[in-house]
Amino acid sequence: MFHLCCGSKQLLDPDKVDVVHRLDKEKCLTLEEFRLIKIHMSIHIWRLALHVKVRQRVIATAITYFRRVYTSLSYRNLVRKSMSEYDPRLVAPTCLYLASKVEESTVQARLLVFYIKKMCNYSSLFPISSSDEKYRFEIKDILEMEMKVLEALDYYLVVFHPYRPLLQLLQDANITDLTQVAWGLVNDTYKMDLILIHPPHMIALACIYIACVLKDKDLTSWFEELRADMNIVKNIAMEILEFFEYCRPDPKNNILLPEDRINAALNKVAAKP
Amino acid sequence: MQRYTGTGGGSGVGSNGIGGASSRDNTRIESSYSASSFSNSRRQSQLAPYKLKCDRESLNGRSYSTHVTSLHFIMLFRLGPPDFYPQTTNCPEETLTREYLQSGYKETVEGIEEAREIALSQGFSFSKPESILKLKEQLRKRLRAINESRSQKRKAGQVYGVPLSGQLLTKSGVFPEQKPCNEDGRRKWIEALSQPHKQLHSLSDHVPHGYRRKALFEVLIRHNVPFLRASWFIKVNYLNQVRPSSINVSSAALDKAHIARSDLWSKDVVEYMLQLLDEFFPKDGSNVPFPNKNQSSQNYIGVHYETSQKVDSCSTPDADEPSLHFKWQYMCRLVLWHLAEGLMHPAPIIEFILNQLQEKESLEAFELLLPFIFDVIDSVALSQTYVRTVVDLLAQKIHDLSSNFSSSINTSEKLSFIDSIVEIVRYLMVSVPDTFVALDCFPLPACVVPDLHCKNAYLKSPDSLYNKQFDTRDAYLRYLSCGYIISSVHKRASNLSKIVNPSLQAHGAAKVLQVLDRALITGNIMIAYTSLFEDLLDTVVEERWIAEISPPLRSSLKWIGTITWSFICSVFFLCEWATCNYRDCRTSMPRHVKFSGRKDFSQIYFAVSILKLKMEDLLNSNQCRERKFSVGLCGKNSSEQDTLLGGTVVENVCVARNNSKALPDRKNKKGIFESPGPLHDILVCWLDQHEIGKAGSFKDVELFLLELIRNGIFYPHAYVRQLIVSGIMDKDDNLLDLERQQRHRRILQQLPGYCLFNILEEARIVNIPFLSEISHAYSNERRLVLQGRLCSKSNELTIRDDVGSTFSLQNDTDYSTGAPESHHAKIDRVTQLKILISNFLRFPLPYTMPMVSPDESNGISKRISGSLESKVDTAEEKIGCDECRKEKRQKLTDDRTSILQGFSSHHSDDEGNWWVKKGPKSQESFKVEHPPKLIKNTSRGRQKIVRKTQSLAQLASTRIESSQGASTSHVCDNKIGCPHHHSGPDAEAPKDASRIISGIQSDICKALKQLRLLERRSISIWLLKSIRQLIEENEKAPSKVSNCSDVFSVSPDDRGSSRWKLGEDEFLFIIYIFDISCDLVSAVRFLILLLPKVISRSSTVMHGARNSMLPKNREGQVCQIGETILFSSLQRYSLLCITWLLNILQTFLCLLLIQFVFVGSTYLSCVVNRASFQTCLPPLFAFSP
Repeated sequence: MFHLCCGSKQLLDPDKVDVVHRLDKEKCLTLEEFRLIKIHMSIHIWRLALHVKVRQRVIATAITYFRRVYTSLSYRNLVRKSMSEYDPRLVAPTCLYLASKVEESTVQARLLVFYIKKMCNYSSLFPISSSDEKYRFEIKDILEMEMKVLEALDYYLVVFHPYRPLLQLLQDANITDLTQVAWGLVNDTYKMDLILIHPPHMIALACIYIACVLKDKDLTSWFEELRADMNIVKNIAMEILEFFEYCRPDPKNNILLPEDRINAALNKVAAKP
Repeated sequence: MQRYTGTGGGSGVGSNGIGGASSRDNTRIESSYSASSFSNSRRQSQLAPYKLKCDRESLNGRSYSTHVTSLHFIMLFRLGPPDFYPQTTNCPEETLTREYLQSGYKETVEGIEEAREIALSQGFSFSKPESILKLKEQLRKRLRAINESRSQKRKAGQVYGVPLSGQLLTKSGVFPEQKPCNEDGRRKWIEALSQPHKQLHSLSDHVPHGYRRKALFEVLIRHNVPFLRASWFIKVNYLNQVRPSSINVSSAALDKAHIARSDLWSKDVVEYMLQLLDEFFPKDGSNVPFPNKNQSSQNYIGVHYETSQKVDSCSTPDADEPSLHFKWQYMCRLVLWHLAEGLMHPAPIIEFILNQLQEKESLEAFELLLPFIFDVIDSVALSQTYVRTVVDLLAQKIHDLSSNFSSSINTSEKLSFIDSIVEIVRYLMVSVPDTFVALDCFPLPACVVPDLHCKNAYLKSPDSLYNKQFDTRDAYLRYLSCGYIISSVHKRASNLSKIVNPSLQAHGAAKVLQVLDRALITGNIMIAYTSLFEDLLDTVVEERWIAEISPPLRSSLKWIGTITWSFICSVFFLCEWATCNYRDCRTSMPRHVKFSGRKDFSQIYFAVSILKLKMEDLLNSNQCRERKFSVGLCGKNSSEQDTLLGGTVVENVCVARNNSKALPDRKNKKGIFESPGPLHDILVCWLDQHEIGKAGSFKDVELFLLELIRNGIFYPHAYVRQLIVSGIMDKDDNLLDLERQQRHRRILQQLPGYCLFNILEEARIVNIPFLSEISHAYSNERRLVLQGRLCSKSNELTIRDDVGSTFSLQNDTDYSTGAPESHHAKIDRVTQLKILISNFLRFPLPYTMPMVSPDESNGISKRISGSLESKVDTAEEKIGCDECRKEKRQKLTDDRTSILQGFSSHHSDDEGNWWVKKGPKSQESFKVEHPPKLIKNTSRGRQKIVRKTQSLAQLASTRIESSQGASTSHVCDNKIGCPHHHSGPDAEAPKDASRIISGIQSDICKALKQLRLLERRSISIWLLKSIRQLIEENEKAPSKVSNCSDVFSVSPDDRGSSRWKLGEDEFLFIIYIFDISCDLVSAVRFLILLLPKVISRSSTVMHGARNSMLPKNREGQVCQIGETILFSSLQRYSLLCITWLLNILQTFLCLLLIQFVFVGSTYLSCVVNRASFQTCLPPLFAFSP
């Protein structure tokens, strides 16, 4: 299905994913800041989703939309959107709004706005320089942005996630006891651009691969029978590990990001020329 | 990183339809995903429902094959194609349930609660960077395991049950089929093949049958088909002949088929060439005439493959049969081509050539075959058998050619032949010299290689020679270098033969070791000497050992090049044997031999004596050589092999000669700073590579060095200069260099310059006036070397110095500050100790003066010694024997403490400075003040240290006091302190030297122990010298003052000059000092010095006993020691005595004792005198005058 649809065509070269837009570059946004913003906004979407109570699939789709907006689509040579034009702080809730509709668990826009405001008020829930007004938007902002995002996505809203192949593969390998670990890892992959680069089943395999090592299960015989390039699987797994190395999550699972740098970067792109 | 590529051509659900229609057609057939859906779909529907189809392979399981039953099918397809989820009739999304109707479709995940699916994350597993690293490593490891397992299974064909297909496997070669064809068609086809513009692709459709073996060659040659196209045709031909068994075969089978084809092809080629040769040389003996011989022979040899085809084709393709030569040339190049391409096996060709060369002796045949040798020369080189045959053949050919002048061919042609043969042989020689080691093809003809062994003269005048034989200087040099290769081959061969020789193999070292051990016991130096320098032959060990010496040092030593490795290693071996302290040769002694002495350093003395012998030998041989070969060169030391390969050796020998000439008058020259000879250089090398911690303790090495210095074998001043010159002390490239430097510094630290004087004086390598100069220069250079390190790494020094504990610390501060006071203070320590000892032994005044080297200011020591002496004297004068003791001792203790405080081992670095700075001045203050007061006054800081030393002094004094009260035999002060008491000669049980140590002695000993070995040694040497002088003085004195008989009538005045006596306690104390200085030679000398005195005295005693005049004579004697104690002391050094004096001294002693007991002493007393000893003892052990 993924291959029959444009899913496989949507896949990108990793070096095309991490490119700072020309307009952003003019505002001195570095590649690392660009990455940091993406990670940060992914976490933002996830936190928001925790409040509005949607399924993981919705979050995954929303994050994928968010990432797609800022990444060019290779097959159409579509012009990507810059962060200066599309404020990530607005694009993020919009993507969640859109994803909830697509994934058939609609969340009302006003609810979203409400929860954003609530998050901004309770700093404990919203660690990023709490009362930052720049995260607050009105309903109309979101609705307006929804159109823009749709356009930016080229109205291509189908997203194939690794969750389904993950469950299938786990069952096949007879390691359903690793479901939680592998699922958690798949959740974590959304903090990266992997979903834009690799087919879902490869990501799922990589997560199983890591989970096996983490839980010390020997699945060599199962892996070797797979018709999958294990080198790529390993590379994906390495990428995931490198991400964690970069982010250094604390034992409580909080990914610690340099707040001041993110704020500075966001202010950079938001600044009027 | 690989890109993921989608295969699907177009759109599925919800796509915007790029080529939608066509792809849709492809996608409908069936699903392979779900088992149930598969069976369901087959069962029910007549109207085929719309189905998605995926042409991707399923993620695991096996590919579909018709005979598999459906049950099997289910099992095999566990996973469908990746990311392909077609709609099925009973999938939950499609099934409307009540719940779905009420609250919409809800995906449920087994094993995860709905509320938790969002919150799940694995970030906490990666909170530690090290755990991530570990994980990564494990990931890689697992990937390797998977890949390995995959590749293994793939080989066995097990992965998918059926042979691999698709991308995973390279398709086995598809080749054009041969087709039957009529004669005309075949001819046309071949013509087309020979024309380069016809495409092979078009030709491949009609490859004709029927060209095999000879026909194939003939047709190729006749049409002069270009090699590329000919090769293609040959490949097609042989692929059709030996077909792969089926399309899907394993790689092993493919390889096998390939080998079979190559074999067949090689066989056919050889067969055809044999036919050609037979045509050249028919059995009836009529040779085919050689056309254009002049041209072709050149072509064959050198540039045959460069000539273009068109030139060679002497006949047009369509014309008559091409000439034999043309055929041969074509084959020649084809073979070259196919060998290079790996289409042929070289072995059949080589065998063919070699057989033919052996069979056909004519030069023409050789001419024809020579180019093939060039073709296969690299393969020949790989096989020892081939090389042997080829070299034998070629050498024979050269011999024939150069001797057989009646040959029909002219000289220039012959020369060119020889040239090519020579080149082949040389090529083989250069490429596989190792093969030549096993070959017995030597000597090779002189035109191939020069025989460097016997033609030194030949080498010496190259100018005249290469004009004749060699066109250029390069050619000449190449010729020479081949000679060097051959000489190294010779060397290797001889080494190998040595190694495999069972009499030499590995037994050398063990044998020598045994001989050395035995010789140590029996004292037979000569046996050990010959065995050491002749039996120790192990080239492998030699190479390794030599390689351990640091190269810059080795290259800077001027003698080392002149001597053989085996000599160097023999000396190394000896040194290791001498300083190795973990094996005691005495454990391997024969049972009946027992030694009373403790473990001593007799090995060291033994080794030194061997080295000394060697040194003399070298000197003699040098002088002999000097006389023999006044002109020309000769290296007795340098072996044949060594001289051969180095032009520098010649120079070295010259240098050596000059030096040997300079040797006799060395004593007066500045040349003293140069290395005295090869032995010295070897020792320096040994020090460089010897890892001290490994085989022996540092003490052994130190002592060994001291003995070497003492015997004039090792010059510390030359050593330090060599270190500086070689530059190894400045290098710090790697850890090894630093380690070496540390090794050298450690040695140098133990050899302070100011103490060297005494020892060098004893070594008698230079005249006394130069000695001070030398020790001065040495001190400077030593400081330079040690400071060089200090500047760079002062931190390391204190950490690394594990040898000298406190003392090395003090040394460091000494040369780091470089202050003259500290230097003098250090000298003072030795001087003061000497004073203390002389005071303790109550040397008469002139001898109390320690022999300080003239360049050192001894003002301080003079003052001290003067004051001390006077004090002791007055004390002794004033106070009677029993009463005096306490007071005198008190004073002595005071003085002692003041001097000895510097020797306290508990000083920290700071404290060390403290006493150095205050030095002698503080003595005064100490004397004046009372200890308790001091303690009161001292408050903090530096004072604390004072208190510490003070309390130490106090402790010492109280200890002495208490020991007096206790009056144990442990404290032997009853007779030491007072001159009016004399130790009787009565048979007192021999005391062990260690038991005597107490009071002053123990303090002196403590101080001694803190000194470096060299410093102790200088004290012991001084002591022996003083005693000898005293004894000699005293011997003269009694003749003058013979009437002085009574103890109590001795006036204080003459006491100082003449009446020094050696009591038992003093004797034991002296022995102890020698012991602690590890100066066993001095100890033995001392004992032997006393021997005649004691014995003669005893004899007089016995006489006296008879004549009742005992008391009189006794007082006149210097030595008042019982002979038992003397002998028991001698016994302590039994091994040493035996090793050195066995044949002479020990038997002599036995004899002596026996005779002493049985015969009577009168006779003996005349025999045993000094003169007799001196004549009896070997020169090594001669008394110094």
